[in-house]
Amino acid sequence: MTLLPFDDDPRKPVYARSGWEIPQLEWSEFIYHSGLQTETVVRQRTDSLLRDMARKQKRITRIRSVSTYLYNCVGMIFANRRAWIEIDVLDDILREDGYTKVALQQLEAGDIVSYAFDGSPTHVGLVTFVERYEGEVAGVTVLSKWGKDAEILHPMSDVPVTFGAPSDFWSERTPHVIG
Amino acid sequence: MSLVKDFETIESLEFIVQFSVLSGFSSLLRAFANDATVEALSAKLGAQANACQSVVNRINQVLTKSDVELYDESIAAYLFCLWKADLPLAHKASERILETGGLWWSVQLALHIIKEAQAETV
Repeated sequence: MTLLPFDDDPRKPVYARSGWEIPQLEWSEFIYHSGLQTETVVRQRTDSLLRDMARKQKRITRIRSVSTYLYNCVGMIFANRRAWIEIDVLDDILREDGYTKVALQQLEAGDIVSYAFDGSPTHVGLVTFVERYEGEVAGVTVLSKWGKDAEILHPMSDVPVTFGAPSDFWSERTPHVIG
Repeated sequence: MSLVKDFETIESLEFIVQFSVLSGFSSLLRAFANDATVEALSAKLGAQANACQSVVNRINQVLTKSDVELYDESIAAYLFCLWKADLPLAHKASERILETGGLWWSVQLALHIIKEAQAETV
């Protein structure tokens, strides 16, 4: 296998399962030319955000990572932390990757939760744990990348106000019956 | 609230992190449109003489800060208000923003404004 050298364009193509190329911002090149954000700034913002969440009685479980590499929630899940992909194309990606909506009761680790504010998509997270009590979902933990800031493990509904609330649940799973 | 107070609020970390967590340019524009502080500043730009120029001056001051990248969302908020009030002035501020490194949302908005201003002149 030959590894290609890095070139000057930070955008690398990302494809859905169907073969559709996921669009990326032409503007992305500007961040490359103008320099990436520093870790100090990402940490400052993350600390402030967590203080603000605490004031609003919202919990987070853990900060998983802080990175200066520019990727977002969509890029974390669908491009292995390699790209910034605008949230507006989330529905297209889910369709082209063969995801279908599932009910909260069907949710499993590895599934996806999307968020919306006033009906517009704002955020997406990866379900890491579903707690059940007497067959009912009692809690959902989600790992998600908060914009330019940290990757955070958090209870599903404990998110910044600008994310709105969980709107839909998605899975690409097909049922497996032990033969 | 005075313009100076608005500037203080918009440059606070509490304000910044509401928007740095967003994952799309259109989400950012919607969030600015729904924000009370941004709305208050926008109203002043429409009502007070020289307020637009004060915002341009403030953008220029913030752009010279050594940790300018921390204020990306503040600059974008200023530019958003300016864009709604005075497109030619927003166009000038946008060109200045593009000369500065380390910014993300501000650059996206600046490019958007420049495109819009160019389309208007054609």
